Amino acid sequence: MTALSFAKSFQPDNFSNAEIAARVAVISSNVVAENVQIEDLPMARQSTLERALDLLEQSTRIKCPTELDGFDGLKIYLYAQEQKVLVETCSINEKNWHRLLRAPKDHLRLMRALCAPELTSNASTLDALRWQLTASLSQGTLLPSIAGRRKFHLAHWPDLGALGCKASHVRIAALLVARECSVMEITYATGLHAEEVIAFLNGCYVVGCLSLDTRFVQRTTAASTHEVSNTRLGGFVGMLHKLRAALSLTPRSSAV
Amino acid sequence: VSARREIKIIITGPMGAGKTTAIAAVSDVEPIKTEAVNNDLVGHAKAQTTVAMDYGEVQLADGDRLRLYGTPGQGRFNFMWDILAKGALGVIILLDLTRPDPKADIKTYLQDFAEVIRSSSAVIGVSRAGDNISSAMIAQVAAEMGFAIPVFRVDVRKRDDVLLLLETLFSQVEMSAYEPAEPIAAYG
Repeated sequence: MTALSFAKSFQPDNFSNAEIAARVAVISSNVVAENVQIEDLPMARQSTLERALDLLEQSTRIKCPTELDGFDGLKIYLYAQEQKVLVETCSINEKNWHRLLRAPKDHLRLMRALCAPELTSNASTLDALRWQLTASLSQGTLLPSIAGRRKFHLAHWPDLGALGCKASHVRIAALLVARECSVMEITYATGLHAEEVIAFLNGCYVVGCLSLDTRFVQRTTAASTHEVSNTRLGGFVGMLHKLRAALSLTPRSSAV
Repeated sequence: VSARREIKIIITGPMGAGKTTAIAAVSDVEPIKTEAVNNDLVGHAKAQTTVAMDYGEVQLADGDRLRLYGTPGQGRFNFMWDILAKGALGVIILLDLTRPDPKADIKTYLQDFAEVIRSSSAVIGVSRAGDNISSAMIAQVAAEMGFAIPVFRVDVRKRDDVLLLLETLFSQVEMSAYEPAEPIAAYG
């Protein structure tokens, strides 16, 4: 069965997501040899984000460089063996590729990259692309794998330097390493919108930082609540606003 | 008249990891350096190295200050580390993963700054990536020593990257103080 014939016979309601993924994986591996588009299925019950993440996952099983097609103004080359990504911006009006991820076409496709450029030092990681996809496409919805959870905590810190983060991400990470919280609690503690919090949680899930253990164990972290002198902390919190203003860091709410 | 307040941050790490550069990236004033000819060319090939401390500051409204102290990188000056670390709000450990044994490096700094790290906050900045060891491995070494410390890949020449490290210290202390509020009212 080719991708095209499968697409023509495709009835979304007849398949579970797992069945779809399994069929697509088989088709993908076959079609690579045909030197044509690897996969081009209509959107089923998946969100655009899930779809993009699935395609990234598929790309890791294909030895040759592939291209994730479907974002206006962007050329995204995936190098599975090196676990790297090269992104080329071809938009006149927008040079920030992160922002261009916000406008996907209806159909995302994974293509064999016939003219993939050589990897350069500008290449980022697959995890960085996963992170940026969740930041751009979460639209206030948790991924199905974590949607049923009430509280969240981090198994470890994401590498926010390599992933390309905002100061707000640091605050959420600091909170979720120290304690487990619901989305509402995170929004209250950080002063951030729920959409941004949800995008962060999705990002942590896809790069493997979100704890999948439902039992939260208090760890020894730097800045343990019990060991920080309240006097020092009081003075620090009072200065924080001025510090962030002086350093041009993103201001936050005064929830703490 | 209210007293001026100060926050002290320590930037440490082995020779050549970028401590002086990191301070220069954010300091409002020309950093004060105590450099001498480097006679440890095995440790790092650079011509000069810090022997006492580097100092920079960020001036805040009302005369408050953020003070940034860079420690000497060479282990023979580690008597300075305790002196500099007293009263610090946090420690930034910069690592060069191309050095011969980065795991030994991180163990040294975590042990020597354990007291201040446990009582305040810490972040590890990887200023130079290595072929044989990843940031995740460094985080694992720290975890095995009982520290859940963030490890970020950074370019210390970039102000934004150094600010990320500072914000991480601030956020750790800030969020450690957060206590969830009890709901005032509930429906249903």
